[in-house]
Amino acid sequence: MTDQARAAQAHTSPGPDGDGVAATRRRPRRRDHRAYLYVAPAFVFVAAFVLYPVGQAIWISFFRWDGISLATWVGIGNYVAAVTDPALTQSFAHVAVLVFFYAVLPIVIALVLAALLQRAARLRGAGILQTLIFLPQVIAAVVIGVIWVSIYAPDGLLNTVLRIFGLGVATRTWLGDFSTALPAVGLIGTWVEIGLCLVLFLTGISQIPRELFEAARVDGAGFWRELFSVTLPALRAPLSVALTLTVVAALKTFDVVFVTTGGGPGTSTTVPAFQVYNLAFNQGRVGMATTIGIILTVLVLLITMLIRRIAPKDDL
Amino acid sequence: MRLSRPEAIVNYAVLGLFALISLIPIVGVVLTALTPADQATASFAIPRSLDFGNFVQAWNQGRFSQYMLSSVIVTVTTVVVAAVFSILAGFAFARMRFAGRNVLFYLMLIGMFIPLEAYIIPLYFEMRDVGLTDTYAALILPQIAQSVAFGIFWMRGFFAAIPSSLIEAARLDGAGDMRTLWQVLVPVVRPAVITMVMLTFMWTWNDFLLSLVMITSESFRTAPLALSFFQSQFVTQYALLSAAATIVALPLIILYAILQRYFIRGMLAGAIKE
Amino acid sequence: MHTKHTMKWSAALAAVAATAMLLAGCTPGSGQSSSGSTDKPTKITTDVASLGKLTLTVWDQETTPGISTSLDDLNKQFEAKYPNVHIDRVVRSGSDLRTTLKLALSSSTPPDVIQANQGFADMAAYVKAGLLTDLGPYASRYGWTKRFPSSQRALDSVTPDGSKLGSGNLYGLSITGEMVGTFYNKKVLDSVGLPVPKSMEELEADLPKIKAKGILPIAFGDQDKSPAVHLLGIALMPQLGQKAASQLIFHQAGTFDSPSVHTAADLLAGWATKGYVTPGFNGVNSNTAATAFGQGKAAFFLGGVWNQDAIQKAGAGDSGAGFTVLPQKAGDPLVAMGGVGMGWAIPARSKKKDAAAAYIDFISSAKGMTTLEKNNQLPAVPSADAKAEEGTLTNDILSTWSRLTKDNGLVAYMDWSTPTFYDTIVSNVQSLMGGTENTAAFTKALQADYSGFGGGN
Repeated sequence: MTDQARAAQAHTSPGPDGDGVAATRRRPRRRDHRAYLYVAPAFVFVAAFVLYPVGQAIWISFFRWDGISLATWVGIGNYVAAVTDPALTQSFAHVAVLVFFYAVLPIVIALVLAALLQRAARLRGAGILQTLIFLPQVIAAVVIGVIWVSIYAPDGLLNTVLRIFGLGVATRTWLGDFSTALPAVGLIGTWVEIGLCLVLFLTGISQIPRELFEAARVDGAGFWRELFSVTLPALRAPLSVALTLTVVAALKTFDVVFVTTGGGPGTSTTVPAFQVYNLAFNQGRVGMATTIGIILTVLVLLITMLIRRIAPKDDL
Repeated sequence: MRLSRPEAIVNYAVLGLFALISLIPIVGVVLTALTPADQATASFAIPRSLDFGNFVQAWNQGRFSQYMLSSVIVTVTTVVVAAVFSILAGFAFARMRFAGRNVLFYLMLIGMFIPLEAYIIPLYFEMRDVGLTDTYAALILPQIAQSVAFGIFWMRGFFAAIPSSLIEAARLDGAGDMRTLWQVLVPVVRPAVITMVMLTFMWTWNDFLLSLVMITSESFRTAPLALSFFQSQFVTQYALLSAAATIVALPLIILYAILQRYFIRGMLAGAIKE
Repeated sequence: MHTKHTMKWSAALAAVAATAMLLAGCTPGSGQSSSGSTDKPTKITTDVASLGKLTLTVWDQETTPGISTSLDDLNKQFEAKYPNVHIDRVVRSGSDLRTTLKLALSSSTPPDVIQANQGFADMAAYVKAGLLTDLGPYASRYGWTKRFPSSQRALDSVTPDGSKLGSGNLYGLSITGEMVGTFYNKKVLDSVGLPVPKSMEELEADLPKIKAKGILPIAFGDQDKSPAVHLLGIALMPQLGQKAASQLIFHQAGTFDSPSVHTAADLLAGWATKGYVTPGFNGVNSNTAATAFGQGKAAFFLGGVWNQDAIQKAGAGDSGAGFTVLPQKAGDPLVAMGGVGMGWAIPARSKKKDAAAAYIDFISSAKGMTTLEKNNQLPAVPSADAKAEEGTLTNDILSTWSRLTKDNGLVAYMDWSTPTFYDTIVSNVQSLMGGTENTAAFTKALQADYSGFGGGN
């Protein structure tokens, strides 16, 4: 993971809506001008290297520009093209598929695993399992991409395993096949995100009063009933956190695609973040690239807000 | 709680399977890296003899010694500067009253919410215009900006939660704002600072897009960027490639092994928050 | 997030955007000095020793072993000749070079010598933006005009406004010859009992026979993208013939929605569906395919001469494999995509242009050419005594090259045609052969890109 969690985390860490404001109200009323000195260094950096380029990005998105010669004003032309040109819209369709693999799949798997761990409360090594399964989160996406390229290679681990089980017919070059390249990239995301979801859910479960489980079991609840009637309802908050983090990660996928497929075969694995880079620095379509970046940002913000909306209010 | 025997077996089987799935890629790449180059294949296997030659080759001929140095320079500078600025500004936002406080705070939040993809292109041209592309500054400056945007938010919450009495007490002892902050408050929120430092370290170390765009010459190339170039150059030299990948991932794996609590806590902040 | 905050948020965002846009104010790109003609060197020094201690940063994309060794070798010789010069060679794969070069050229401290891909996407775009040095003065001073035939220099020439290829100023100098053609493995063909094909038609007829013996007919991998362009060239060029192909590529006449392109596309799609090419080719690296061919795992390898070294080292040795360029029908004039390797160029903002020019002069000299030959590479102008033993792969390549240049059978790379054509051809060839796109959609996609670009205007 690179910086993709930054924004999502912010939603969930102590912030202005919480203790911060309440605490500050108790502060003496005097205005402290030295505060500007404290804030200035940080602000200068954010202003110069985030806010200013963000404003510029909006400006550039109204131009057709090759990045080296003079630009041509095209108004909202780039935005129109971005939502109508099939070559550009398909990258958004691909990222929707990735959301399934990065968010839905790991959340479902992690839920089941968390519930299993919960039932086998005295399972030895649960802590170690947690630690290990979380590990992909701290490894650079480039490294993860390199690892999976060799797993998916023609003579890689996946095909070898398939052959051992007599499934030789199923072997293929996973990243070079139109029907499997995108899911193959997606499964890398699943592998990475399971740990994050699992740890989130286990933490959530640890806060559920044990009596609830005991009671359910006295009633003779099996694994699935326990999962749906006790565990799941108590996990709404961690679920929304998991959903936010993983969906944002999916939307911003770049490193893994760059390393594993480069958008290919054909254009079957192009994603918006890859298009931002490729259009700007390979094809010299800087205005268009910037536009895609802005659309992507709006999507990220909208979706995080939406998830927050449907999440329970009380625990945030 | 006791489980029925069949259920316990199924439980162990499922959990074991997923533990394997999550582990095999990582263990596999390390094993491949330790396999003599001519025996290594894409499918991981347990090497018959251990060979550290791949690491030596990646480190020397592959120039990873140089790339790792670049990464260390960029990451350490970013982390230290961002931590100091975040603590200062986080403290001010939490504990001082001044005109425009809210506006400034929300501007900082923008810096955290907007993904790099949105402004990487203008950022590149901005850097180029001032002649900074292809320097460490081209990486460090934006990284600091992104890190403080998060750090202020993070630190502000923790500073705000400190009871006022603690600050009053320090003031009564005659400590100025600066001394109160660094000698009284920072030690109190030490875990939060460690978490913040770990997270910014990880984000900066693992960065790829920024380096890809800003850095063109070999001398400033960071380790992840170098790894991706290395990969397209040596696609089928699995042992060498695996060694390089291991080298790039190692610092964070070590940090994680030592400080995993802080990592996990930081990355899951939301769920853990009371 | 509470609504209250959301509103403040939007307000803050709007404020930022407005301020930054005001600050920005002007049209992107207007702040730069961009005119190609001002970059002419004024005073030329050929005496490198007098330039003092300096480091020359050289970027190239020659990752294939043979040519890479040649360059290392030449760099050492250059440093020995001028002890005051240190060469910092930066090698990266072709696609990595493509992406970073544009960025590097426009920085204030670009490399001193680079390899620029000809065509509208790269060299012409750099020229248009005033990022390359006009090599004309150096060419006359060093006598490059005599060293390389005008047909080759034309490939490295662009008009100063970047609108036309093939004429204008000289912006690069190429030291290798390149052509794309058919490698055949002699042992494999013998084992199937087939003679070396003399035309595309014969090749086509051989493929099912080879397949029937359980041997892979063609080793091919285009995960690294560019082989897709080359394969299409091999299928298409013989149908068009040199003249029509050239006119098409340089936007003088023709269209990509033509029967010839249809036929070529059908051919490639057929190869893929009939299993004549390496399974999973879209995920196989071209070097891997060349190696497999060299090991005798396939009868043919279709690709560029730069694969020679990999093929020989994989096990084919000096004489296990042969090279030929196939016309459509036996006896037709030869035509092949190729020409010269990437042009060695000097970024306009380099501060060591004289030393850079001396370096380019050195690697393109007769000594450079023999060094290339020694490493199984095809020099742009093979030295007079470049005679390889009959029956060797090197000999095949040298003789095919001289026939092609003599008969004027070379056609520039197709991807030169438009700035985005490389990506378009690659992704559509991959889709076509991957079975997700039919021939009609393929030709339509190519033509759409081609006609959308008027030729540099």
